[in-house]
Amino acid sequence: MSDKPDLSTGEPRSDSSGDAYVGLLTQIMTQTLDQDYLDVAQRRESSSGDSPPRWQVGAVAVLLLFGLMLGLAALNTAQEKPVVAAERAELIEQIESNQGKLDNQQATLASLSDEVTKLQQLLAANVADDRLLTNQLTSLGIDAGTLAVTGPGVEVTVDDSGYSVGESGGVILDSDLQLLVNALWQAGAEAIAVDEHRMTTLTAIRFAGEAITVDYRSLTPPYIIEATGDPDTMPARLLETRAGQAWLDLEANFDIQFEVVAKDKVSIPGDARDNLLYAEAKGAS
Amino acid sequence: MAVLLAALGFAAVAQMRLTGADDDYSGQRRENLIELLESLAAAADRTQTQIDELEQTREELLSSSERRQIAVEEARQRLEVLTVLTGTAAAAGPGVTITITDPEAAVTSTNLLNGIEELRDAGAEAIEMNDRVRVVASTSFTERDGEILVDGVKLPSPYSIEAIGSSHTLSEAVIFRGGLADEIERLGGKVSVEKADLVEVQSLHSIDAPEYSQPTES
Repeated sequence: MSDKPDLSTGEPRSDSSGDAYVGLLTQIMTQTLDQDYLDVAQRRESSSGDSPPRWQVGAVAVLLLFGLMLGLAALNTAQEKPVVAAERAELIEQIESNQGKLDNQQATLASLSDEVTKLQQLLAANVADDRLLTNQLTSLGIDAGTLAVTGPGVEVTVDDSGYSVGESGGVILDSDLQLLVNALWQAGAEAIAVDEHRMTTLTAIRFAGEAITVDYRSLTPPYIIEATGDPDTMPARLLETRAGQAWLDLEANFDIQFEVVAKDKVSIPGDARDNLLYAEAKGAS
Repeated sequence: MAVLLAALGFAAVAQMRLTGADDDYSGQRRENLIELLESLAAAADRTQTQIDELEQTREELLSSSERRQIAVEEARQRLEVLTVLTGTAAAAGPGVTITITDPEAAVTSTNLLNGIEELRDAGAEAIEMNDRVRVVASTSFTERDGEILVDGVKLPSPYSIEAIGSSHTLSEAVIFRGGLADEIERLGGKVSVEKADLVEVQSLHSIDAPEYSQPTES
């Protein structure tokens, strides 16, 4: 630095000597600054300072420059921001909204899954209940006579005699049929129908007007009585009963038809009536 | 001065940064964000599909469950009726209590069967004899050595019949001209009918599983 002009009159420059790396700009600025300081010092010495000192002007300029640069930078950022940042913000907004949506969906899914599991358990219980009930309904339905049944058994055909013997000797009465049905139960029948009318605990065999009625419907002879049961033993057991004997008498003495035939298969309809008007069950079976 | 300015500048930059990234994604690049958005959309699609499927399942289960519930409820009601009809459950309701005296031991099983048929005709829904035997469809009336057996059970006189149904209709059926009362009186016995708002039929009929009868396939 010995070749450089030594201008350090106002301000000490401790680092100026021996600094070989000082760049041109720095040099210029430093010189300018130093020059300013020099000028200011000179002015202070010459005049009493009615005009602003030169270094102040410089500082303002530097600040202005800094401000300008800052402003430019800010402007630059502000100009780029709406493009990049707005897109970014929109992305983030979408991400957050999708995240929220997914959270909601997952909550819905969890509660749905819960509900479905419970429903499945309920249904499984219902199915088990239902199966049990169905089995009970079947076995009770056969016994009650509400279900149609098929099976081996007997078919009994009875008919009035072709001619009138005495007053009513040749005509089958309701009590004759009652006793025949009664005898079939005795002989081990499981289900009985008289002219396709299932005998239930509610079924009455009566005489109304000129005809026998079953379930309040008039029948006309011949009457066909079908019963499921052991086809091998039922006919014999039937004939052994008092009613069976009585019917054999009727056949012999009044020419009434009384025919008992074992069958491989008889079909007995059900009586669909399954509502009660007065009786209420007390306790399950 | 320089320090102050630097601090100011730093603060300004920091402020700008802050306003631009007030979220968790400050470290993420744009491509990452787009990728995240896409995978979120895919996950949402998958979840929605699952939700749709489950909702359908739920609807099916609900309607199925509801139908079953109704079916089970109906089945229970039918079962209740069947237990009364088959005599496997006790029954209660309005009805009559009939007492039959037979001082001359002239009453036959046929008389009693005829009386039961009259009660059935009058709409009896549950019948019991002598508080011992439940009268059902298959109940047989027989005699052995001058004694009356109902379903094989020896019943001594006086006979009592409890029947549930319309008490008026039932009592009319017994006392109508030529009916059970007339018939028994003709045999030297007496019939009294007592109407009641509550008749309890307690005795039960036990059923065996049918051996020969199968429900008819419809």
